This record gives sequence, C-alpha cells and structure tokens, in this order.
Amino acid sequence: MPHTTTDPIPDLDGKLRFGQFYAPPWESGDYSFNATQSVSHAGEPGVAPFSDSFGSSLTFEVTGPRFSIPPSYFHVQYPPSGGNGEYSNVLPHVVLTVKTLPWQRNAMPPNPDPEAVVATETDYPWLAILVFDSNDPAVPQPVDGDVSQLLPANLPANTVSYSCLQLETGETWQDSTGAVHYAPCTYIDVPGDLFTAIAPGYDELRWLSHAREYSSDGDSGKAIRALPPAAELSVVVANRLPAQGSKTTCFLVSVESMGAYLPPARLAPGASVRLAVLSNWSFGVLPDRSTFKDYFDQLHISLPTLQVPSAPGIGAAAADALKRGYTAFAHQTRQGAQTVSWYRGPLLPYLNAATFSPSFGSADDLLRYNPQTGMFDATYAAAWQLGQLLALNDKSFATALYNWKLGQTREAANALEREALEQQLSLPPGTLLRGDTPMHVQLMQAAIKPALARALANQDKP
Amino acid sequence: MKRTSRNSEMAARLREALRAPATLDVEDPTVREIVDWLGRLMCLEGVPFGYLVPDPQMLPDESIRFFSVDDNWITSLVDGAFSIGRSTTGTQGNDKEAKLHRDARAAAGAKLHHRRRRKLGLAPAVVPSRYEGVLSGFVLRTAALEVWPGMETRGYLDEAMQQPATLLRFDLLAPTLAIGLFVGTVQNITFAEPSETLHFGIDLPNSPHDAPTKGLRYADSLEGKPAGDTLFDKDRNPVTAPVPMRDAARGVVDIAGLATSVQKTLLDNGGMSAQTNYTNAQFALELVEGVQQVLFRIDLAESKEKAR
Repeated sequence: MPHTTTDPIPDLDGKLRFGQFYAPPWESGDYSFNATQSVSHAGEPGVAPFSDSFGSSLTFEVTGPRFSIPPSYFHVQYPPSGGNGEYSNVLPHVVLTVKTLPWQRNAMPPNPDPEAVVATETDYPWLAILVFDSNDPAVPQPVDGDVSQLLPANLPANTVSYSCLQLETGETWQDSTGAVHYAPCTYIDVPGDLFTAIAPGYDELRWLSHAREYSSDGDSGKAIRALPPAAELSVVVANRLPAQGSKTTCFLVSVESMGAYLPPARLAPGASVRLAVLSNWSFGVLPDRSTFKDYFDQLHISLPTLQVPSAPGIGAAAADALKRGYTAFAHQTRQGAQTVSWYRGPLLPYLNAATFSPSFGSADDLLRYNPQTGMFDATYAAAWQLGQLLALNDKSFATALYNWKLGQTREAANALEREALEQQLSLPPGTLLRGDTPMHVQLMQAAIKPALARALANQDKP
Repeated sequence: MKRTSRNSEMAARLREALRAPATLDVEDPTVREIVDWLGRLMCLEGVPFGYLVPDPQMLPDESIRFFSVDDNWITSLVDGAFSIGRSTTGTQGNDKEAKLHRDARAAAGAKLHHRRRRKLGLAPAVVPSRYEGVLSGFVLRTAALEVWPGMETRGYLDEAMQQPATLLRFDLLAPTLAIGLFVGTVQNITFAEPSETLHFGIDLPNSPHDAPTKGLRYADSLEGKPAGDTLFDKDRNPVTAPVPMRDAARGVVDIAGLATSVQKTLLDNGGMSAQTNYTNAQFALELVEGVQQVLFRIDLAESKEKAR
C-alpha cells in the first residue's frame, strides 16, 4: 500500500514544488491483523507426529475524515469565500493542510471479488469539487443531517449514494438505552443529469489533486501573519469555470466508492445523487473588477514623497519649505502669544545627516527660531516632548529607567565612599570590594583588626 | 579651615563621580527592558499617526509615499524618553546622559534586524548588513489593503535587486493604511498578492467564438531554461495548448483531454523531455497562474539640510 514516487518533481524557483501525491501509510478503514503459526512434526520413533496451528487476530481502525472535515484542515479556498472579482478564468481550488487527505480513501467502487487485486497503482482520490452557478436549473441546498441518511435504507426513491456504505467506528454508536446514534453530516442531492454534466470523470480525478510543498525563509513580508516556514499541502482543483456575472457556489464532496456513478457513466433518468458535503463556499464573479495590479496602477504618485501639495501663488520660501515636508500649524506659546510655526514628521523626502548630539535639557532647547521669517521650527521640540510623554505613559519603562539611573548614582556614590575610606585608612586600593559582606565587616577585617593588632603588639613592647 | 577645604574637596569629588558616564550592562534584565522599549521607539511604534503625517493632504486616498527616517527626530524622541530620572538640569549631566543615549541606541540598533522575526516567532536570520542608522520605507493608503490583507512586500537595497533589505515593520495602522520600514536605503520595493492565492486557471479568449487556451511553461530544465519559465516557440511566441471543453456552455473543462493536450504540446515544443513521466504534478505546474507583483523603483536624493 505505501507508494514511493520516483518521478522527478518539477521545481519552481526552489520555493514551490509540485508532487503527484503524498501517500498515507495506511488508508482509512477497519483492519484486522491475523497471525498464525503452524507447528508440525513428521514423527520420529518415540514422538508422535503432530500438527497444530495457533492463531491470534487483532482488529484496529485507521480513522480519517469521511463525512466531515475539521475547519483547521483547510488552508485556503480560492476564490475566497464572499469575494467578488474577475474569476471567470479561474478553476476554484482548495488547499488542505493535511497532506495525505485526498489519498486516504479512494473512489473505486468496492469490488465484490475478494481475490481481486487493486488494478492500478494510482489510488484515485476521493475528494472532488462541484461548482454550481446561479444559471443552473437547481442549485442544491446543503441539508444538515446525519450519516444514517446516507445509508441505502434511508435514501429516497431514485437516489443513489455511496455504494455498499459500511459505517466505521465513530460514525455510529449505541448509548446506554440501546438507541442508535449517528454522526452528523451535511449532504446535498444533485439532479442526475446536472451531475453527469458537471462532475469530474472517474479518470479525471487523478489530475485534479496534487501535492504541493511550499518553503520560504520564514519572513514572507506579510503584514499580518506569515505562513509557516515549510508546508506540505495537498490541493484539490475543480473542473468547471465560474460563469461571469453570477453567484457561484462550490461544494467539496466525497466521492468515495462512487466510481460507478461518475461520468461518463450515465444515471437512470430522473435519478439524483446524494453526496456528503465536506465544505462549501460561494463567491461572486463580476466583470471589470480591479486586479491587484490595477489598484497599484491607480495610485497617486505624482508627489512621490510626503509633502503638502503647494497651491500656486505662495512665496518661493514657503513652497521650498512645503517641498521639504514641512507643514505650518497654529502655535500658542506658553506666554499666551499666538503664532504659526513649522512642523515636520520623521518621514523625510530626502536623506538627512545625523547631526544632533544628545542630550538636551528640555523641549525648549530644541525649539529653533528663524529671525528672518520670525517663525519657530517646532519639529524636534515636539519630538522630544512626545518621547517624554510616551515614556511616562509606559509605567514599567519609566520605573525601570528611573530605578536604573538611581542605581547608577548610588553605585557611583558608594564607589566614591569606598575610595575615600581606602585613602584615609591607607589601605591598598581595591581592598574594600563591593561584595556580599557588608561594608563594616570588610572594614573590620581590612582596617580595624590589623590596626588593633598593631596597637596591641606595640603595647606589649616595653 | 582644614575641615572646610576637605569638605569642599569631597563635595567636588562627589560631583565629579556622579557626573562620570556609566556603562550599560546589556545582560542586566532592567537594561534589557530599556533597550527593548527603545527598539520599539526607534521603529516609530507607539508614535501617533498625526506626528508622522501631520496633514491629511500629504497622504490622500489611493496613494503611496516614500521616505527616509530623520535620525535627528529619532534622537530628540529618544532623548525625551530618557529625560526621566534626569537629576541634573541644563548641561551639567551631559556626558553621562549622552553616553547612555549612545550606548542604548547602539544596543537597540544591534537587535533591530531581529525584531520582526522575534515578533513573528521565527528564528533569527543571518543579518545581511549592519545597522548604519538609516531607515527608509513607505506609507500606503489604498483599498487594496482591505481586499488583500495578506499582501507581501519586499525591499532591495540595490538596483539589480540582489541585496534584500531587512523588513523592520509592515503594519496595518487602519484597514486601508499601512506603513513599511526597511533597514537601509531601499531602491526597489515590491508588493505581491498573498502567495497562497496562487491559483489555477486558463486563458480565456478575447472573443467568445475562439477556444480557450493555456500558456505553457517548461516542465523540466531544458535548453538552459529552468523549470517554470515561460515556454516560447521558434518565433518567440508563447506556446499555448488548446483547452478542450466538455460542455462549453456550462464551462466544464475536459480535464483528461486537457492533460493530453498539454502533454502533446509540451513534447512538440521541447518543454518536456520524452523520458519524463507525465503525471498530475507536471499538469499542476502547467495549470498554475502566478500571483501579480508590482515593483516601485526609488531614487532617494541626498542633500544637506541648510541651517535655518
């Protein structure tokens, strides 16, 4: 069952790679594992012949999504749900985060002959996308029900569904009272002739699913979130183009074991097909909607940098100031005078040399005055003030900075005190180190004890 | 007499000690917090938009503007932030504060390249260039940001687009307003549709009577062209394969027929070698329609600001 691909996988810039399929190690379903050991002995003089076999069997289930898919399995649906755009040349597709999903089950009709070997080595995928647009005679509506409505016993007359459906673990269970419950699922009933016209054929299924490997260096330059660094995805593509000017609905359906009903097989007249819906989305197809490039083509770029467009008739000096990105604002000074001052943000239309050297005492230090025009330039003063306000606004930063500065000052004062003490007591510099022992203990050990010892020694001398 | 002079001498020494510049120990968690906050400020995060673009006429609807960041403005901003806890006024504590400012900015600048990657939860990348103190970028106001919020941007420092610039910031400040910051002076900026909108499609004809076609690419690396390049025929026209329709009125494509048609056209025009096993992988490669990308070329002039 595991398949290995030895086909060369086409590369695309080393960033996007297409593959034929990602084979799941096990296909979903119920398995039983039988082990038999036969022991036999032909017989010897004195030993009776015997032949025995011992067996043990184990059943286990490999569960996989069958009638519903968790939303986390979907990476992208294109065209996006609820979108409007020029999608008339696009084949809708779905990208799944589980890379083996389309090949976990197959669309082959179950073979009644137990000895039959799987005829081809390519497992046909069990997922297909059906595209309906509003021009179709009867766009099916999804019905929320449960799995029991897919069983042959509960199908309405003249409806076909999954042939020989066998429910697996988790799809049906009995509760304590003996009532049988079924897992929920959503399904649609598609009219037979519409189904034959638009559904992908049995031999087309394998062209419509493929594996994709996406890798980037991590930062793809997105504003919101980046894709995970490397993703192995599987993709299912539809086979029908959306019609222009209509609302198109796409259904991702399961066609497990429906091989006998897919085109080119014809269904009985008046029959309809019941399929489990794994996901559905709809979008509008409108002509003349802007593409990505159109949006950018329309951008105003006559003034490529941030500047107020200058009206004709203003003086040359003012026009020059506007070109450099300055704007004029009404300015009420602290003394109460009303004046007009220049302000410019940090986003300059040209490269500016870094000429400032910190630090400045206050915002007023940065207020610049041009006596020729009589106007202030409040750019840097406003920036200084903003910085102070932002820092004050953030309590944790303000306390951290204050404590750090205070700590530095205290450190300096302590160091000076130690230095002064060492000088006064004629100790070699560096004796009173900053450490875990408190200062007075160090003093005792370094200065007082030796002094006392010397004094006592002197006293002993006659 | 002696005591007074000793006192004044002590006072002088104390003043000097307090004024001596301190070194910044970047391992200290308090210092790390300060440097991180400073890094935020240097990227203009937290700065109200009215300070960046004072007049709405500067950035009307559907426009893009390019800029380089004024280092002096950032210096003033940072100095204002560091004025907290400044115990001396005027220029008395100048050397100490100046050293703190320089050290802190250098420490924050060294980490600047990794800021965005840390925010995105990615491992730090190899830093292409040192932070020289120059940041440049763009402000963009367009409805396209609402339609494609996953839009991607890349910057390049040189004309040939060989040196990528580290993206420092690309944030949506409002649903239709974005600011982007790169380290260094960018000369080329590209915007691309989100890469997950890579989709499959065919080329519709201009008139409804013609059959739809599909432009093809090299499926293998042949004739010196890498796989994925557009396939051209001998007359330098792009090679197209006809797309058979199962039901043209309903728009149902004959997928099996398309696969055969693509295979035949590829082999006829040398887009695929005959030994390649033609599978759905090659088919998907041919069917892919790329995403659109827009390139802006910038030439930021250098000029000295005249003293006013």
